[in-house]
Amino acid sequence: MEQTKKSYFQKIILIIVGIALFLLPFAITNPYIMYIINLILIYALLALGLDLIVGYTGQVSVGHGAFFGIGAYTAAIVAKKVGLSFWLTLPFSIVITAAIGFIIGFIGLKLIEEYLVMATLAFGTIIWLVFLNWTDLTGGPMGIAGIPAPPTIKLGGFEFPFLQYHDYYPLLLIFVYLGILITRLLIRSGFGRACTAIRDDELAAQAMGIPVFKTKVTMFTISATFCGAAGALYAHFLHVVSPETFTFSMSVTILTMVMIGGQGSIAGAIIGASILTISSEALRETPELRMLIYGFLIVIMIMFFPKGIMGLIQIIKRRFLQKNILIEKSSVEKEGLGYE
Amino acid sequence: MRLSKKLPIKKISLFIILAVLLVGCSATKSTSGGGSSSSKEGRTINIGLQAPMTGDNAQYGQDMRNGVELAIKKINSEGGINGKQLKLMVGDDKATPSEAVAVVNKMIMNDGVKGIIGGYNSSPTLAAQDVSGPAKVLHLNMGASPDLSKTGNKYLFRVILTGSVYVPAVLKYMAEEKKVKKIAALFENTDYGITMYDAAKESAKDLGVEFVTTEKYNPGDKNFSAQLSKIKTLNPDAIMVVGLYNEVALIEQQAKQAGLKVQFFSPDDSMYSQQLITLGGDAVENHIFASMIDLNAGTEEMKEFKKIAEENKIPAQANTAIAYDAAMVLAKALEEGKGDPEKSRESLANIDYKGITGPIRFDENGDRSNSPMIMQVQKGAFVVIKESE
Amino acid sequence: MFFDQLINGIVLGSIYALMAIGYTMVWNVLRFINFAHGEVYMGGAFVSLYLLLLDTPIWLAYLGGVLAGALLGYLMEKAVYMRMRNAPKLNLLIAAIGISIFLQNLAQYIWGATPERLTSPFLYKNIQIGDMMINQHYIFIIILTILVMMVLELFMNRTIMGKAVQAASQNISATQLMGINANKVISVTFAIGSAVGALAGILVGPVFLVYPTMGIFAGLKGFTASVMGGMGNIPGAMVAGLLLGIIESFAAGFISSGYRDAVAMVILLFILLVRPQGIFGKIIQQKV
Repeated sequence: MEQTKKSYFQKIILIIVGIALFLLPFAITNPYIMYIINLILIYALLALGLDLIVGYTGQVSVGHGAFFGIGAYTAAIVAKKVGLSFWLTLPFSIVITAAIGFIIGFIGLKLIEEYLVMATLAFGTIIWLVFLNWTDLTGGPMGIAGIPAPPTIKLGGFEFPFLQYHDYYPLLLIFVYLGILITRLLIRSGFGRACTAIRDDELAAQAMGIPVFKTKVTMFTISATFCGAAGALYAHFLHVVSPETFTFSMSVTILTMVMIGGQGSIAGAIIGASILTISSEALRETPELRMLIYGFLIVIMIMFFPKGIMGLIQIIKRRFLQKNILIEKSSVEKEGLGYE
Repeated sequence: MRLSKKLPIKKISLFIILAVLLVGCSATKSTSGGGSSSSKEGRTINIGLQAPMTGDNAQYGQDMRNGVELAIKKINSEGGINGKQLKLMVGDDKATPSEAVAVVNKMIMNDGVKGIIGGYNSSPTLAAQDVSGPAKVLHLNMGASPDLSKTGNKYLFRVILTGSVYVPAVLKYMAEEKKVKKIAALFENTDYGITMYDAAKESAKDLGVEFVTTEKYNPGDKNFSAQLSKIKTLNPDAIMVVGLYNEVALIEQQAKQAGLKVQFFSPDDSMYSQQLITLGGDAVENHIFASMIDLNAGTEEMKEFKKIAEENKIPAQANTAIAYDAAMVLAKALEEGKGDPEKSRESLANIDYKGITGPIRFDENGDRSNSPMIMQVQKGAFVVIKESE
Repeated sequence: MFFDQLINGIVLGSIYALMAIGYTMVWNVLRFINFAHGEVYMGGAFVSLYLLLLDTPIWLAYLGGVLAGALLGYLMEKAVYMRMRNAPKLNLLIAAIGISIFLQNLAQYIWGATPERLTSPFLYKNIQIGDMMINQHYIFIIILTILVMMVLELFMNRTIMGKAVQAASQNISATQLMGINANKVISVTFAIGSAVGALAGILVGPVFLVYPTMGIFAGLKGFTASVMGGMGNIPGAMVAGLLLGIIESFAAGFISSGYRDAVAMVILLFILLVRPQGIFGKIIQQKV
């Protein structure tokens, strides 16, 4: 009983914070900070998407940078060659990444874990080479520039044009909220529980009658879709796409966000996206040392905090609030972490 | 789980160390950033360098950085501009458009730079000028693409020549002096390579030369045997290579190993680096290219530049000299503008400066129209074989 | 043209085969893909380069590079992987990626990004066969690769340590029960695999230059070869490496050089799907 009362209370706080976050642009005058926050939101969407398959279903992909790229390129091509606006390029991106995600999932998820890693890696590399070499469609190495901003939103008597970074923030925030909402709905459903069962023990899940392969492919497709949507947002936000953005290192960055934040946790994905984006911006002052420190941090984090920051918070909570919190034995409850 | 009883304290302390490390990194940034924003009206003027500092293009960025630093050192030792010292902010654009947008954003919005030098590559510059243009920040780039003349951005200037100046010059020389008819093109699959090749195809028609084949390679490739074997069967009079100097050195070396003896040439002075000869050895002997600068020229400006470079133990490379010139004219424009961006722009647009790369004047597109000279590698040195017209 | 490409393919293939050995050996004992193996290739080449700058004789500089590669692999294992024995495979993979990023940028920090050429006593001499020119260094690469493979084969089958490595690849915990020091076996495996990888880097140094990011694609190709040969199968990896080099070379020559690297990736996908045990492999059991 106490538990439900507490979570009810927490829910209200969460909603208030969620609404309050919309007011953030009024507090921030530096457009560069706003730009970083917007980037964090895009990365958060990517991390949420990848977490669906890595954290909740236990399947590793180092090819999600390619889905991000496919989403971004689809939006850019549709916007520039067909002349559609953001609201129409977005569905295109989603449909196409979903289709490709389904195909790759269908092919790759039959493999054992280590081979799935390599298959997604091979897929990512092929997609990058296609971006680079299919010059007629993708602009080749030059990429596609001049992607238009989303059209002005007219709401009642108000107009919301997309001119500067402050204007993009509410739009991006809404998409992140949508991502969080979808993730929560998914993982609380029977389907989501089937996924976590597969993650924890694939053989046992199969024995219980869960259609393992079908579940995995569905989740992989949804996960790719998240990245596709993030790609469309990215293309219209930055107004330029080019192949080097979507190499293997992008896939690794997203995966690292999930791992450092803590897999299988919504808050973890967002924290991971924030930490990596901020640290990579903060280290910009020392360009030669930037990636050196970055690599070092990844190794240290993964060696000493294998469950990421959310795992650490869990440990701290257990030690200091032991009497208030039921000790969870298994990781089945992991998904709720951020809100408990 | 075995460790969960013992470890947390250790883990937490380690985490705190890491956090401090991270915060430390960002703190140095915010102090430098904060310092600069408070000094916006104060004693320093920030200028930015947007160039590749890591990755395959890093050596070019390093050369540019050296040049800009030399210029700033000279200006500051002479009292700065309008009594203010110049300060350089280096941003690594990794030769990619998205990173270029990110670093230029940071330079303009956070560090309050008044002028930007770079990028080295065209597509990052094209993306970055979308940010610097509306912010009215002078942007002096070293890209080759003709698209950089068509942006309509009044604050964008180009301190090198466009591809459409270099390419006809060198092609004309090849056709008239070397009597080549059949040319094979081998270029890197980047905006630079494609731009130069398109310009070459354009001017080839008038000169009566023909491209018998066009071969591409991806940036970073080090194995060109497939392309070279193909070219070998076509037996061209000359090969036009467009790429980074280290790859050009490799190409000529591998051509020599494959027994392909043919005249090599490339359009512009990105070849102009001692590294080409160090890496290529006698395989790059006789390589021809067009250049806007001759480091052995006896002009006063060149002597002075070489003197400063030597004092600071910096190798005097072509890109160093070009970036040095860029920083000098930028400083001059900022000095005359006295903090007003529109006045600075006006001043830069009408500038007439005698630089080490020749006279610097900009046309209405922000381009220079000097005519290049033709250079050749002879006995391991760069020699002018045809003066500029 | 045909023979040109064939020679190129064999040379490339030799390098891939040497790289593949490192992946396969580590997979054998730990069932994990050492993503940072490409950095050993880079590190060995850089150390050789550095030794040559100090006027070390060429053979000593090459040997020094190989030893440095072995040391790098050994340290990698001792400093990171050993401490993560019980961690999930995914964490090991991320750690390896982190090491890879770290080492690449460390090399750039120390030696700079400019590609440098390693010297070779043979590079400037050609052998003429009919109207075909073959570079002597290419022949040096091929001969050395064959030698290394023979030595490795002898080591694996004729020495106690080699047999211990073989035993460990069957079942590492059982090996331990038999009184073999598993940690020692793993260290030896890493050191040997890394030495061979470093040798590959040193051998390509004179042809394709030495620079911080040189290990990325070499690593991918080496991995592809080890999958083709059947994960954990050393002779398989050797043959598959050669095969991959030749296929790639012909694809680049006759199809499109822009998609050269895609060819290896398509082969990798195809093999994983159709014959995950590799061309020469036996069915691999997933370790539970």
